[in-house]
Amino acid sequence: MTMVLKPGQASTGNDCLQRLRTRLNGVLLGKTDEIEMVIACLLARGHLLLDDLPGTGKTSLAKALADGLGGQLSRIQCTPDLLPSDVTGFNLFNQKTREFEFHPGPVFADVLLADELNRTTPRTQSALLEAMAERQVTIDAVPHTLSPTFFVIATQNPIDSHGAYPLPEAQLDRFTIKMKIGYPDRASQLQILEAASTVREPMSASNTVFSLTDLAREQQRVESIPVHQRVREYIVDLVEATRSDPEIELGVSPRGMLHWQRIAQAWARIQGRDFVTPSDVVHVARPVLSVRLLTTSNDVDGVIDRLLSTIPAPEYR
Amino acid sequence: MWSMQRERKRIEAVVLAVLSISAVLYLRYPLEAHWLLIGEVVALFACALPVLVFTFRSQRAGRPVWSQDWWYAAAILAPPVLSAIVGRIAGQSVANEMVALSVSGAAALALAILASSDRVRGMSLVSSGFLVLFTTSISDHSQSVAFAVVWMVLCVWHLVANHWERLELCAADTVHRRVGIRPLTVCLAVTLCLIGGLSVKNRFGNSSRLLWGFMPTSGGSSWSDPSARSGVGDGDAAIAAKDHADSFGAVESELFLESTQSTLFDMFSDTMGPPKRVKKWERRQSIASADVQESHQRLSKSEKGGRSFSTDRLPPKQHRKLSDAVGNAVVQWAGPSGIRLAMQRYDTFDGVDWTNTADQHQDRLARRQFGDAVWFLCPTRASEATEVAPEVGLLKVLRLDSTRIPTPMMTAGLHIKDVDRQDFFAVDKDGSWVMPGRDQIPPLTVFNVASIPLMEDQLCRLTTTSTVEWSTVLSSDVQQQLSGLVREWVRGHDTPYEQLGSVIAHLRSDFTFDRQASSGSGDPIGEFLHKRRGGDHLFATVAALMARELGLQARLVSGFYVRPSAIDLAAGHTNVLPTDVHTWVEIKLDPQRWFEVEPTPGYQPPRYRPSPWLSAQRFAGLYWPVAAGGLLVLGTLYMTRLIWLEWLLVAVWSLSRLWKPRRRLALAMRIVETRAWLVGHARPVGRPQRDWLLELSSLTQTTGDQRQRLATQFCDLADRHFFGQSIRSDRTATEHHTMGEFVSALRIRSLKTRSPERIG
Repeated sequence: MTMVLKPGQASTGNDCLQRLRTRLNGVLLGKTDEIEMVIACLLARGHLLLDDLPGTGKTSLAKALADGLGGQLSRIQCTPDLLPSDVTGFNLFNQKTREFEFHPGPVFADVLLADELNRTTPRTQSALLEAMAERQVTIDAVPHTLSPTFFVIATQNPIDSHGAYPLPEAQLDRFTIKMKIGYPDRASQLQILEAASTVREPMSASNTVFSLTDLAREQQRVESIPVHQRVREYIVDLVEATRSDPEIELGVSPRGMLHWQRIAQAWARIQGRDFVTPSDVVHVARPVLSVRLLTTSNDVDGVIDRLLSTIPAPEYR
Repeated sequence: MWSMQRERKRIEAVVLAVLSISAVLYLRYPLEAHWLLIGEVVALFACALPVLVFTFRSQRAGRPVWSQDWWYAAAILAPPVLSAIVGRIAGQSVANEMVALSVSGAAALALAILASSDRVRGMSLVSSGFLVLFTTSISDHSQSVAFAVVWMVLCVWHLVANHWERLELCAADTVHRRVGIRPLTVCLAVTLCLIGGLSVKNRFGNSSRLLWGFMPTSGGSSWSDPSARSGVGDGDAAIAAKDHADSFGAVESELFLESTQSTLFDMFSDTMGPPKRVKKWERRQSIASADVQESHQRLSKSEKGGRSFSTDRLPPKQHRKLSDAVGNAVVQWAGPSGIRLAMQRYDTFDGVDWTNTADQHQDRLARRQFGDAVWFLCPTRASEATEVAPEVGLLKVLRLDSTRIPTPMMTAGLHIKDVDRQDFFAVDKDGSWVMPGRDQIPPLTVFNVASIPLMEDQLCRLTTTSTVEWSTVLSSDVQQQLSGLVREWVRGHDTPYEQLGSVIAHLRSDFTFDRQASSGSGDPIGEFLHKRRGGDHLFATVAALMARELGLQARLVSGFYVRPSAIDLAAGHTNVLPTDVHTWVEIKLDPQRWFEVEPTPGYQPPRYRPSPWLSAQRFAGLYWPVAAGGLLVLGTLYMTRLIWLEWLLVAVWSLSRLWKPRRRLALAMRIVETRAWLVGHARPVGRPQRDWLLELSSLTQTTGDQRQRLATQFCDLADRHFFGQSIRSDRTATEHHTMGEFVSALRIRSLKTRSPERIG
């Protein structure tokens, strides 16, 4: 279900958003809807799970995002021998000053790309996920706060499942949405090849299109977007339906419900509105639900479709 | 929310209790003094309403109503009891049973008002339901079933609402929310009950009679119950009869042994005039005195027994006796009135006299036992009696000097309480029921008579026999007159039943009934046809002769007519007087069945009810042009529905010009949804309206962008109004303009020219 919106058309939002959008679309060609969703996730202070095939541009996306925000990008390649301290940081004894020094880990960045999160041990997974949830790391009883706009893009490879530690549902719930970027279409692929074979001038130093303070302010604004009572009831109806459906083993938790509302608010903000409509809720339903629903059959999409078609949306009344 | 649930439950339980009280009132209203009853009702509601209000207030405030429950309950239960006491003091007493019913109704009301848990409320429901069912089953009117039906509907509504959430979850997959679950469940319950009721309706046809004796009629004492009935066949009949002389109890008092008993012949002579005696016995020559005595005896017996019926009679003697109806009754009949009780049948007419030549003698009757009662059935009708539910009436013979039993049409069997002897009943030669081997029926005998009702469908299948059975008994010009009348009257009617009906109708309307009219000339029939006046025996004779001309077999029947104006309502039976002797005609339907017709005006004709199928056929036959025209109109309306529905929608839209933008937005959306539904692209339930609308407006082949722009503007506007916070009212004009453009852009015709894909 795709919204028929073009970037320049209906969203009369902030210029920053527009510029960020342009930057990201320049990097990832032909994926406008996915870029919209990524930006929404960013504005909703949530974290992104990409369930994708290798080589579709995840790293480029993360880099471009970090550049656009003027922040730091760090990257973790998750392997089975990765330790939690490799992720969070550790205290190292300095011989010279005879004190313990804190060496921050990759989480102390603005954008973190964690590749193949399902390949590392559960211990390391939980260390990262805890950092994501609390935005704080405690090492040797000393808390270190992370960046307020800390954003994680975690990836999973759907093909290789040998030697993998699949993420448990409780941990999956900490992600706001799950997305698939997928392969670009034919025209975009031609464009990619063309762009690769032309000489590019070096990128200018300050590529910040959306400063971190602006981002923080936008995030606060998104949190305060009013949600009408009937739209809230709609979300609650949907969530309760997931809990009582016979084909769904594990429904949406209250945390998931909060994420849903937050990302619906973010989506409304991106459309340039200062209120949330039911179509926002429906539009973000699939990414939100696919990360946290546990179904008895393999057809998660079918279950989500059936759910959405059963619960009536609030009408103009 | 929780307290709203409780309030709703309380209100519904109270409504059900009030309904049961009104069912009791409906039962009591015709029987008691109105001022007392109305006073009691007013007092009851005056006590109940404050308690109800107080309960609601304390529930809203959260206080429980524990400590004063008993006082409130007593306050509500007081009015029925007090009014009974007041009534007894004032002389307008109320039956104890009615007081008990009213008190239980008040108890149900008290329980409903003061209930704090579901269990107590359930008790209230049970008692009000029992009360409604009980009063319905003992009521005399069939319309009181309405109370039971309404109670049932409300109870189902209440119960569905109590378990609503569970029901909704069970049906979560298929819930569409277009038709609510609650109305659907109630309709389903009502339909099931109606189907069930109709399917058992005719099997237990006489269940009301089962309960006749159920409410004990507490004797005949005058000071307590005006509603006590000296019932027929109930346990206290013996007690009731001691004071109440004309009840049906078996009584051993000497009240009746002194009155004279008259035979049928005497009664006919009294009312219609004695037959002219042809002095045949003067031709005798000298016979020994013993033989003369015998022949005298034989003659008097034949006068008494009435083996022949003469149409040639002198005018009756005028009596100036003032007799009271009750004291003079010949028989008493407890059953439907306006019917005829047959005693004698005659099938051969010789121009003046009717005699009987057929032999339908049955000595041995079929014995059948139904429950405790032993019935003796006519063998030819025994099988029919067990298939079709017969109608049972009660006959009490008081002063009849005859062994023949006056029975209604198509009597299948008789039963006397505690009698199990085969030799009590028999069927005589002419097909009438007798008690053989006696001088007369013992007075005060009560017979239960079962007669088989006849449906009009069977009469419509009446066929004529091939031999037209009239002999040259009348003089030729009278015969010609008769035939001429018959031919004139049956013009335009095809089936024998319709022809018979037309003949009877003409007899009833063109001729006058006058028992005093016979002048005693030698040609009673010719005089009757000429003067168009006569007694009922002439009507019957002419009708029988005309029926024979039509090819039907007819016979004359004499007996009694149960006059509807002589019903004794308090006693529940009708008194049949000697002046109620009557003559009529029976027509043969098939070898076992003869049905009666009434040619005399002023007497009620027999009621043959048509079956539902027959009445439906008749209705269809009468109204088929209307039905065809209606179908045609509906067909054209359906074919052109898109056109006139579109006009209707446009008219509705233009009429809404004065509304506020918010309401108008909702109306505009509703109009577009209706249009799409008519074209076949209804919005699926879970789809938000915005998404659906944008997709609908984008898939057109021509001018898609324009429409999409309008749709987007409309949706933005609607979203802002309904889901946004602030509504700026300074742009009302542009808003209305946007709405108007949008509505006019998405007409039915433009929606139809889309590619016929389903919008997913």
